[in-house]
Amino acid sequence: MGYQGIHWCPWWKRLLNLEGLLRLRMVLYYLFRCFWNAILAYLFIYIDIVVSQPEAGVANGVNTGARIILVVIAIYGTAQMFIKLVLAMIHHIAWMTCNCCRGTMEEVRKSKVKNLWNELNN
Amino acid sequence: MILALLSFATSYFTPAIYFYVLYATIAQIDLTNQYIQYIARVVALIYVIVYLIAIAGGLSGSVWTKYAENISRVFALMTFALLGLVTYNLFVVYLNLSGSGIDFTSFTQMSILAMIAVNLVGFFALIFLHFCTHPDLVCKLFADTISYWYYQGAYAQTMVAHAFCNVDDVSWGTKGSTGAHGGKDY
Repeated sequence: MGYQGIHWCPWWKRLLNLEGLLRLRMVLYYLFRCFWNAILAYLFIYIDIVVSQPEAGVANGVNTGARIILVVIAIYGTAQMFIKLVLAMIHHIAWMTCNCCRGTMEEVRKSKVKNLWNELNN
Repeated sequence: MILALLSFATSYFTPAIYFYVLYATIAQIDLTNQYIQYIARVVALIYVIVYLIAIAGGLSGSVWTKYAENISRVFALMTFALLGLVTYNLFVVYLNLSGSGIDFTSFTQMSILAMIAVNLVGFFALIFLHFCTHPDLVCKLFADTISYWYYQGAYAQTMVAHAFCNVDDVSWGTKGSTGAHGGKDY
């Protein structure tokens, strides 16, 4: 069998060069991701700059024709922020009303939380 | 689960959003000025090049991680630039506060105002909800805002690029990271 080091691997694995193939796969994955990002960026520019020309609609000196995509990105960000805010508020109110006030926390955890609380506030 | 899905989806197309928002917020400063249009293109191109460097570094393995902070610094600068540009665009371009002011019949302006309200009111409501139970942490959160923005370059861009490039690496961390990545079996 010859020398077997810590990272020995059989001859057929060396022949196939699986590790190298794995790296290549990562490169391909990333190129695939970049490809979709490039398509997305192209769509953004096409819709906002080419389709919605600045002269498409002007009301009170404010251009209303372009910038649709930026508004869509803002709506997406706001929706995401809103979901996170609501979930965080629900969790915190539940924690305040259930665990903190009614004392439903496990006895073991209670002392640990108390210690942490003292550490944080002192 | 919902948060993880949202974060994954957003991290997948973060580069496209950054690229476009950088380009559009500069271009919109003055659509008739040719120089500003050139600057918008050059800045967007610089962003693409920096991101490609981050990808190449992520694919090259552990040697890169020593120098990844430099790319994060460039991304951090871009994050601050983006914050400034978006704020400028919101008040000057969209709400037209330097010109004729807010038009309450404009759908775009009203939707922008509603989104600003949801984001700001929701954010501060959440923070002050914690004020009665975690006053120290709330103060720390406000004090750390600038550093949080600064580290967004690393958190949201360099680390995400590095993570996407190394999804095959399922180790817990430092084990084996001192050697060259890959090829250790040969």
